[in-house]
Amino acid sequence: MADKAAWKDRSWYKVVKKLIGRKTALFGIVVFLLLVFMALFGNHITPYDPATPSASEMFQPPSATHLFGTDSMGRDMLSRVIDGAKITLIVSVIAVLIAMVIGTLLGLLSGYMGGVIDIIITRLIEAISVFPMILFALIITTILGVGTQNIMIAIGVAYVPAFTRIVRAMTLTVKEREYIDSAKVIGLNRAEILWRYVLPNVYSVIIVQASLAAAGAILSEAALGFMGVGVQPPEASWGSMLKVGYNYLNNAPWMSIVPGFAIVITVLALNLLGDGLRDALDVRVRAD
Amino acid sequence: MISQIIKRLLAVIPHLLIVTIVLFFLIHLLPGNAATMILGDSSSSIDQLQQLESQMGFDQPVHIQYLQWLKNILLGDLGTSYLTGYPVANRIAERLPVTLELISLSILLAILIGIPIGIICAVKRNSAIDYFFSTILTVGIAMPAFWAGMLLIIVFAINLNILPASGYVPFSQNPLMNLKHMILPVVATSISLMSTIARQTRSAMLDVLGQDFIMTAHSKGMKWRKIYYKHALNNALIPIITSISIQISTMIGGSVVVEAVFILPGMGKSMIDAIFQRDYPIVMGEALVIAILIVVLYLFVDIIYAVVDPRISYNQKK
Repeated sequence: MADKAAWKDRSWYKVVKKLIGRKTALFGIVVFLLLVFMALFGNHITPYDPATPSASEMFQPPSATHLFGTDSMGRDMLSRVIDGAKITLIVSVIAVLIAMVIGTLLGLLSGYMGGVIDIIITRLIEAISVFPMILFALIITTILGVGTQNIMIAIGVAYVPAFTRIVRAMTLTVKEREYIDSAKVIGLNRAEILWRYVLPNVYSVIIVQASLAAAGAILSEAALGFMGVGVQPPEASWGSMLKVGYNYLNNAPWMSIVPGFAIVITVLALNLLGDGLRDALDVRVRAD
Repeated sequence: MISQIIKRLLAVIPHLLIVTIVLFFLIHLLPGNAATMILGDSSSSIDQLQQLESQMGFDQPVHIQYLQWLKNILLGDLGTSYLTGYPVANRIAERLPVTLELISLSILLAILIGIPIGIICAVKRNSAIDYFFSTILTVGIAMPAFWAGMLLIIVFAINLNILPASGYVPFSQNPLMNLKHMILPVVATSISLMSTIARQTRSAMLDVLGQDFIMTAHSKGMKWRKIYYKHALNNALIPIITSISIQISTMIGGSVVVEAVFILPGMGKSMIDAIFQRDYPIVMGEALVIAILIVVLYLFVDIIYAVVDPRISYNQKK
């Protein structure tokens, strides 16, 4: 057991080193950390108060005083975007967590148990994933009602198939390995085998998928927010800012350009991070 | 070959059934139903509500309602809209062509531009052109389709004023205006698929170009262009097609919001409205059509696989 701990330390170190080595992945990490920083300390670094309207400063184009201009209520766009990072990130992270937990569970069950359970779960997952995720999340939001909490659930549920599929494939790969047989011979029951042996191998796949899913979750939040079912005022996420900005494309295009740009950079960073992780962790899955 | 296609078509049916079941039950979890929407909130008594509900068949258990709906579908009746009273099929017939046009043009554009760009990047690997395009492509994947649409509106409709920002003109009515209205939405919808195709083409082509037979062909005197498009691309097509099929569902999801941005009278927008209005027959009918559309697209991709890779059909024949 002590051997296992030492080995684990070293492999983590190697992974991180490999990850940082790639410039694109490094960019991803830096941007992601920057975002986390904004989410945590946004309140302290915004040049203006993101929520206070100011009638005299409405619709100002980007300038020296307002780097990204002001919106329809005179609020500074830079501050709004920094503030919006908080909600956008929270929605994305929690949605991914929901998808990850449920998806991993289903994937493990499906891959390890096989048989009828596998068939049922796979068919269900296929049925859900045929459908464009946005529409699916929209329907779920309409059941549960609008609001931040509910789109987290909606997006989370919509991303379950992505995790299930990949965990199932990885489980199938691991199932064939010898140490599983040894474990059974020793007398470990199924749950213990899953927890102790299958799951640790599945980690790397899950982490890669998590960062890619986070990217997708932000895009989904943007679309749902644009349609008005997401975060409600006075809270603002980047998606809901786009909804407002849409009405002013004519006179204040920066209201739409800036939050959208933030979304693109974030999604880009997460994609690069996911790709980098995939290479660094050297994930290989048996195709089924 | 034909038997394969038929087999695949048959396999599609239970799949679609499961999709409709999941959707139906999901939608019927929606609080309130069309009866409450028609009668309004407080203006009617409980009796009136119950009467209307039983008239519309809401008082029956959900699975009975589903079987009723299914029976109607198989008889060709997609149901009637609760709100407008018009048949669902009519609405779909009005809206479907718009969505079909948007989606097919987007796929076409994505392929026509994506593949050549991918080939150029692979051929001029690590050059300035490669880096330039690769960067654009990576950004393209990260861009929400509807935001790209908004940007296009800002540039082309508002600032340059050469293309309309919204609205739709049927092709039969005025082809030129139709295309003018569709250019921006199509570009916006196709960006993510185009970027994926280009990236995939680039990496697949790089794999193929490294192989010996390419060198052989070149030393036999074959022009590079022919080598790329005829021999290399053929072998690279399979992973490209795989990535297309993965992205299709996402692209269709994106097209829905693009329809909202450009105010196109398509199925996507219609479905969004219907969801908000609790108009079940429309939601179910259009969801079914969209699901069929996607499944057909997947089927199409499968068939193209079989055509492109003769190994696959050989195996099936045994």
